[in-house]
Amino acid sequence: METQDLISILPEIILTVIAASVLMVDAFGGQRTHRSLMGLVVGGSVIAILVSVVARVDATSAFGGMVLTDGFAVFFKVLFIAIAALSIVLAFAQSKDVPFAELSALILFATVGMLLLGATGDLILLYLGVELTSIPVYVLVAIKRDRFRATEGALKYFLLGAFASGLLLYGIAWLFGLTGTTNLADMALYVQSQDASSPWFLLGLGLLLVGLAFKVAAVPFHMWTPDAYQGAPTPSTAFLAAGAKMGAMAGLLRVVVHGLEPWQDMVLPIIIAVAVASMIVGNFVAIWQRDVKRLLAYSSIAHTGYMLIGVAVVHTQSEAGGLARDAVAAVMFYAAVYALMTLGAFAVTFAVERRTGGTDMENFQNLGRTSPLLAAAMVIFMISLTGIPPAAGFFGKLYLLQVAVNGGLTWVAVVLVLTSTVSAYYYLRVVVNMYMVEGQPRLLPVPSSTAISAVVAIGIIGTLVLGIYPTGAIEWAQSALEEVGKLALTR
Amino acid sequence: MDSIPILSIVLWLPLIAAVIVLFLRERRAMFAVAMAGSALSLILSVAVWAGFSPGDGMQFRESFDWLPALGIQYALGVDGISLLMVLLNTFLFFLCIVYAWASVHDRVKEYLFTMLLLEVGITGVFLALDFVLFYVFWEIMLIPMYVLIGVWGGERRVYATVKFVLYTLFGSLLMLVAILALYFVYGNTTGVYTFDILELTQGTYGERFQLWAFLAFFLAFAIKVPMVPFHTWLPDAHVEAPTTGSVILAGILLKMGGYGFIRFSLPLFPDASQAAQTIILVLSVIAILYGAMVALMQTDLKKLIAYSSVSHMGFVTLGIFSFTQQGLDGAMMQMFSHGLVTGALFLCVGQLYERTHDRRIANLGGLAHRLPIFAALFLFFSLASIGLPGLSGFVGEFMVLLGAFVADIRIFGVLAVFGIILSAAYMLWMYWRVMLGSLKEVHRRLEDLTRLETAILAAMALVTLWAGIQPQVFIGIFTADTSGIVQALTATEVSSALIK
Repeated sequence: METQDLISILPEIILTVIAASVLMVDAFGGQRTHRSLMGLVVGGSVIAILVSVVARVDATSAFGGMVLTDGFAVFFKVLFIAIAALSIVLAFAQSKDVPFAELSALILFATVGMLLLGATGDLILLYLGVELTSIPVYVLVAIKRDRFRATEGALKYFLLGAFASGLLLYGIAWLFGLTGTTNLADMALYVQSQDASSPWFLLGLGLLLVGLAFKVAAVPFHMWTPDAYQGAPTPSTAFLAAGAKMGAMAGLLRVVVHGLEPWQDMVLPIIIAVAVASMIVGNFVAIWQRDVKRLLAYSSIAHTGYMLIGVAVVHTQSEAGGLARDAVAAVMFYAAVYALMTLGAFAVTFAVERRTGGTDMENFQNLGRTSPLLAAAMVIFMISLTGIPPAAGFFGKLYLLQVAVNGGLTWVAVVLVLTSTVSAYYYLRVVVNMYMVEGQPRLLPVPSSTAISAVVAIGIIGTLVLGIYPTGAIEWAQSALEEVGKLALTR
Repeated sequence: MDSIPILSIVLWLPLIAAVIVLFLRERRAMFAVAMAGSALSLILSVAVWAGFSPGDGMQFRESFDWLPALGIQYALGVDGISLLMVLLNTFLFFLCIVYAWASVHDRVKEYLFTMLLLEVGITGVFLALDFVLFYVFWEIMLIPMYVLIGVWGGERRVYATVKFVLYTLFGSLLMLVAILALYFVYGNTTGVYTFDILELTQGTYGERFQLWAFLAFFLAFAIKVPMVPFHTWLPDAHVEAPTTGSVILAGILLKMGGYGFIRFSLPLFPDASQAAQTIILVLSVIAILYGAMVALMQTDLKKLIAYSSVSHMGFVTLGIFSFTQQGLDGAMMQMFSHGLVTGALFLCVGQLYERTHDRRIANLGGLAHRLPIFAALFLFFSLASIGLPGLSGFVGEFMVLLGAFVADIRIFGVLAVFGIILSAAYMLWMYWRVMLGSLKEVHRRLEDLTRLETAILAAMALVTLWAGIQPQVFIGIFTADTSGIVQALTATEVSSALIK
């Protein structure tokens, strides 16, 4: 092991150290340490973000090709660490009800897994990342263990998740057996030189994709999502949606960009089918949800579908140059946008939950009068999720639509816009409840939380900035891909 | 022209005012800022008119790279067609905000913020020269309109406003896909990837592509106009909307559809437009006659005027798709006139409702006894709506009919004339039932218009009269631009005839 290798995983090391020290401080520091713990986490996260941007190594990979150190990895490192820090700040508002130190440490450990997923160049590391993300998240969902729903959601999530992990590992084993390697780039090279059309490849590939599809909550592997989202304490749900899921998306992109490229004929129809199914099922089932957390769960399934369109476009042939790169950049940008707006939406939901004791539509009633700022923020998150300007969701969708049309997937783009219209209905229902319905839930005497307000404010600023002037972020995503391995994205 | 980005100022002034309003506490101060913002916007747009030279294409242009990574620009400009719409827009918004001073007392801050935001969105639609920018404004205006109807609306406001948003979003999202397809088709043939509207309208597109893209644009615009059978959101939205919401909806929002047909559908898809001509003419005449007949049967004042809108907007699409100079000019004048007159009629109904708290025609009657000033102005606008010569409504409808006859689609012209006759029937009958006859006991104590209300309606009446007596002043603004569109269309007609 060389110093270069260690530098390339410095952010992961920092996060692990913070997580460990959080546990230590809590164990020896007594009850009154929550505030300083939060300071430790936020400060450490800022350092980790800075380190991921600044401390770059010259090599494009470390640990013998296991860990990639390109711009793609950096992009997701910054994003994931920020999400983790924001989720922990959000969780601070409930530090009386849940063990805050354990929760913070779990989120940080899961984040290490997400960082590895963004940096993986090898299927073994992919599996490691998936598991390192999933196991703490199972616990996060069940962290209020006396609550029936939490236990139910966590159990469902765990059983199905363990099954999916098994499939993923089994798929990796098949692919290893067929190609003799687990390194993505080597595997792609092997496939290009050999005839890889045997059904056994399809089997291995299919198992791999099924495992990842489960983790990103794509139809038909989405069953766990609503229960886990609803059962988990809201800050955990926020992290689950904005963090863990996007981590799996980053891993999927890695596999798709580096490894699957030669198999596009086989992969393309599968991904398109899953994307279309996710958009339709997610958006239509969301209509009937009364609970905002469940609603956001189905909406997250739909958003997975949107992002998968970009993943599919990577595999289309087009005369226009740089399409594959644009497609990946579109998914990266969308992941960032989705993380911001969904984190914000859950933060508002959490604030409402604290004030009214529930997350049903009724609990949002008359929020426009009782808490105008919170309601206005929710409106912005909802129109962003719908994809209406001037919120960031619009440009996220625009970019995805652009690559879809360019890649010849116009009909999928049409599915996206039609299901978006459907989504407008249920997102606006939240707005209707906040502003246009008589009646009001009983308000609990809870002091407002600065922590929640801070997360909401960051979400709003991010959503509006990316919605009005997204140039910087999009160019960052595009330039991040210029360093991505030579084999990939050069078509 | 010069270095002052005057269009950007016209466009963004209301937003600045809106943001300032957010930080104010006093109602008086909020209104002062909002009125100042919209008044300045109006004055500046009149200044643009003064500096505008008709026939020189897009003027006062400004542009900078907004999102170069995706080929998107921030580009503004006006030609005659958009200038007239911008003038109408700033004029109506100023009057609406003045009107709100007397009528809106609930959630004033939110109300003014919403209105000013709406003004930005609609002005932007008419000024944008980049397709994505255009689309952004086209969508941005949805949210304030949604809030306006949903928060300050009537009893079934939630149903009406959700219906409005879903309808509009459905059409416009399909248009977005068509815009993106346009971007790539143009880019793949010319090598220039751009969302520049002027550049894209220069291109020629294959017939198959034209048909699909035309259809997508058509849905977006037809829903906005609204053309039969896409009109069902309109009566609901109008009935539930607050007065100013109705004024803006009828006055300007519907014009976005007509503007879209003229600015995009005809130049971009000439072949498809010609292929669709007969269908659209049939739909237009159905809208004219059906709208008028349904208006005749209405018992609610607002619904009556809403359906009369459907009928009047039928003339707009009829004029546009006659593909003649007279027809297009007539459509523009009809849009301008309809914006003023129907806007004013909705204001009248609003004022009436504030006094009587009733919009059902059967419950009203003889109001002219108590409201003489109102009665005069209401009569004036009713007559303008019918198309009395000397008022603006006549010019537009007459020119549209002329266009239909010139284009040798006489049958549609003949049928449309019945729409005018019907409009006389429903407006005069309505006026007779509401204003004349014997006064109801409950209405003994009604008070006539205040000075402010009179002034607002009088201002609209003056412009209506002006446009009726001197239509050339207004037609002169845009006629050079519409003739360019007509010439381009007839050129393709000739070329496709040659191919056949």
